[in-house]
Amino acid sequence: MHLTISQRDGVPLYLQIINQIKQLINSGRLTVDQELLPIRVLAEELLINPNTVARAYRELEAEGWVYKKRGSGTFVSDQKNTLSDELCKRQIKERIEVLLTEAHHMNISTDEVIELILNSPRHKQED
Amino acid sequence: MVLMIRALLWEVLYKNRLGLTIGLIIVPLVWLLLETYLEKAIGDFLPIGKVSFAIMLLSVLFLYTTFSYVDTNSKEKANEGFPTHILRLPLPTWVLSVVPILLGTVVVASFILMWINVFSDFELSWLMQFTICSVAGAFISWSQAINWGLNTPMIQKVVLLLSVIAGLVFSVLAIFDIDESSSAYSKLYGSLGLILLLLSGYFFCFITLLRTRRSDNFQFRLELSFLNRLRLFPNNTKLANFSNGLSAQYWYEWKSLAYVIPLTIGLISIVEIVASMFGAERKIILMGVMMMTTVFLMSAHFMACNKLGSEKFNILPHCATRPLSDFDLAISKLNMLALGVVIAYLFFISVPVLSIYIIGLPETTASSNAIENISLAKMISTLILALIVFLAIFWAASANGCAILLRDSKLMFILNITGFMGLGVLFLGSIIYFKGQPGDFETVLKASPAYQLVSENPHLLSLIVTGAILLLIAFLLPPFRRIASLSQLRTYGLICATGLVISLVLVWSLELPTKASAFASYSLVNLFLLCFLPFLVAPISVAKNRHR
Amino acid sequence: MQSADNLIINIQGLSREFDKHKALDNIDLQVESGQVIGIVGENGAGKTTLIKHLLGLYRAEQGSVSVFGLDPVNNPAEVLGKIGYLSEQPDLPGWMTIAQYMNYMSAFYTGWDDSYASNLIKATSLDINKKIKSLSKGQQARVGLCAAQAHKPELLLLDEPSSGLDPLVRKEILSAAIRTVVDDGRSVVFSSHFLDEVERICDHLVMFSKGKIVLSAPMSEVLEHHKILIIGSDEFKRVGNSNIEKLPGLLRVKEKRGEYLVSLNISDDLLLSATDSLSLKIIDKRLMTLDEIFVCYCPEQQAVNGE
Repeated sequence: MHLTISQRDGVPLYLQIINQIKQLINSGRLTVDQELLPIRVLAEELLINPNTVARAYRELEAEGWVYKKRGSGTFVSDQKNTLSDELCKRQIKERIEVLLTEAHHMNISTDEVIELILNSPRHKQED
Repeated sequence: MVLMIRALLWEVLYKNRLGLTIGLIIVPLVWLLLETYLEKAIGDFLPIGKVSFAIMLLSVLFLYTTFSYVDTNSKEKANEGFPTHILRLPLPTWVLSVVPILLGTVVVASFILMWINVFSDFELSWLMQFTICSVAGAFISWSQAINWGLNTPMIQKVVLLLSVIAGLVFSVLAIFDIDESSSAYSKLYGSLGLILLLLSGYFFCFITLLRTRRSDNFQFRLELSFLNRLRLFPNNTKLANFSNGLSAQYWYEWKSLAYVIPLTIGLISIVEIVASMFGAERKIILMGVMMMTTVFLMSAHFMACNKLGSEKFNILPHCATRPLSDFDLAISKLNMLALGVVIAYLFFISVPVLSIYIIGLPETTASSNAIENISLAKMISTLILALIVFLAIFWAASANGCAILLRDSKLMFILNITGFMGLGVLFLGSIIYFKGQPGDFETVLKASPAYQLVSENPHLLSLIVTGAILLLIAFLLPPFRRIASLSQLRTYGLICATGLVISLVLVWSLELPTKASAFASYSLVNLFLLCFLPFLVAPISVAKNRHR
Repeated sequence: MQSADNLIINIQGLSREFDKHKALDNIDLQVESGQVIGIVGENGAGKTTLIKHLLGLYRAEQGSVSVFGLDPVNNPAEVLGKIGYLSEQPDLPGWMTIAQYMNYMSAFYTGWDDSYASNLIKATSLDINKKIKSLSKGQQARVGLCAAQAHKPELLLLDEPSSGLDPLVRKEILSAAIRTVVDDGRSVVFSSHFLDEVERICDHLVMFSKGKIVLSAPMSEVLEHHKILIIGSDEFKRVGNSNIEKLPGLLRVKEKRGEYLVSLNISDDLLLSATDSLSLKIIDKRLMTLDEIFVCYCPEQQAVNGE
């Protein structure tokens, strides 16, 4: 598990950790039930505040990428089982908020957006 | 290039304008004063020629330091090395080295010539004047060269300087042909030697500067391993074992500052003893005693500043952040000062003892007539009393000075300087007075300026008593009790009280007249109160200095 | 407020004047155990003055300072014994060798760990028989850092320790700070001009300007709440300058090439409701970097940049 931190592109540090761990999981370099580096060790290695690491781990856990075992550590979870319905919906909701704000700025009403969604090729495929 | 040299000259002169002005003005001013007013006032008991000569030497010293042209390049090394910003100027190295020395030599030489020919009554031949000027020039160039040579150990500088001085002395002796036995060539050899020394000084300056500019490490370290074996210098390999922070701080204070006091006094006393072995006059021994006294008085400065050679008394963050109470910080300074003073005092009293052992007792004088009249027991108790009182005076002077200097305020500094000046004047006055006074101890004592000052102004002594009592009461109040509790002060109080009791008993055993005895007792009480005062003052000073 | 036992540092209403110049102006600061506080601010903003108050080198003229629940002026021995301190100019006694210095320092602290200290010194690969005055600035800082952490202090005070040092030594300083908090919740106060370092290791940011605390918030909040909105000039005129200036958390408005850059310190939710109520159209929105935030709060810097 090798992570690097860059402070040039303005991405918050905890997000960098989250993204890199996700990438490691997606590429299979971190396998299911493998233990992540303990918070202290990672903090000392990356020279960042342990709370930042803890926050990244917490968010990863909330998103279902990892799970915590009491008294031991943080482990990569089997996403298909753990990503809950509610969480998925929450993530989609966030995206919709962003979409609607942007549409609002471009003077496109919500109804028009819904129409566009219904007309999207992806939606038609599903039908 | 002429422009640049002018800029360089401007820097040298402008940077030192104050010293230059003082140095140049002092002589005409004093001369004017002497001519118009002072000659009548002091001419009776002070030789005008000597005063004028001393003033001239003083201004030469001033001018010399003005042109000594060393700069503080880094915080660690005060007064060391050639100013680095000048090394970056686009000028050839020989110009950089020659300009300041030549300027200094010219100013000092023309100043001396001016003094000889205008202000003094001396009639000197041209050869003599030339000799004096070239001696000054050679000395300036060599001391510059030694100052500019970075990273050379102190001992090596001293050796080099001493050998140059020896060379100068030989040359001058050859020119002036002291014993008149040598041939006419000796003048020639002497002059050649002088010129050679002058030129080699310039050359050495040039070489030093060249090496510095190319940032070569200019070191020819002499292996002085025998000095290390003598353990004159701190041994680096063995680590001390500290039982707690206070003992570590003792070690710190001793190794960084306090050891200088006994070291200096010890070195002077060795010189003194050697001098007495070679049958030196008593004058030299007296001078040594005065030097030692000065060192004792200076020791307050040594201990109160936080780094050797530093003029500042503000406590360094490193010291201030030691996890020790204010009292402990102050006491570590005072205790080490005490240790330094006591060891130095042992050296101090060893000089007369050893010189008497070597030369024998001085021949019968007026004062020894007085000694014969006193019984042996009284003599011994007088001796012990004198030993105790002198130690107490040295301690009181240096510790009180240290204690108030630790406050790091201008007012306290001025107070301290004034106090020491006063002490010095009293001391000098007493010595001069005792020297010329026949008669028994009592009349001499009564006639001495110190006695007169105190007996005519008894409130001076009462001031000390009141001050001490007030301070003691203050330590019963909460804000002071926080700094030091009375139980912490008890030991030091007991030591001072013991000293007082012993010396009081000794005074009473002398069976002096009632009035003199009472006066002596009262003075002793005050003296020992002064010995104790630093323990009250220093913690307050440290607290003020530390928590601004 | 937090219970007093939990507070490592508790500063209330602290003010300090030097020659009628306010070096510190009514400062309040609380530090809990386990926190890393980053103190930033322009030169002369009062950072060092604050840290000197914590060390008891300054007496609190107004207000109160307590460290570990004690007044550092009245209890220097107790307070300083639990503090590790490294400043920009580590004024170590130059005449000591490294070995002597470490031995000397070890006498003062009850928590001094000899094997830990010798490991730290070994890691610097310096000759312990060398005199401190012969070391370079960076090497002196390394020795000072070893001594500052060898007793595992409960509070590590780093006063601009990184200034003028090479990246390697700076990294060592950062890792010392991290080690301090990682080990059983000790605290660090870190003042620095290197904002990226502060962002890395601090979980709470305190920004000073001219003796005042202008910003004190958790680091994550600081980074998330500071935003720049870009608004077109037509839109800006439509909404009106006065309405823009009423936006909550507004820091400054700057016109640049026909667009308006509006800097704000505001949470996402509040921003959304505020822009909705004005029906403000925003061209772009992005988070500010710590550098930009710093420039926003330190007015002198702004004037220079504005020209």
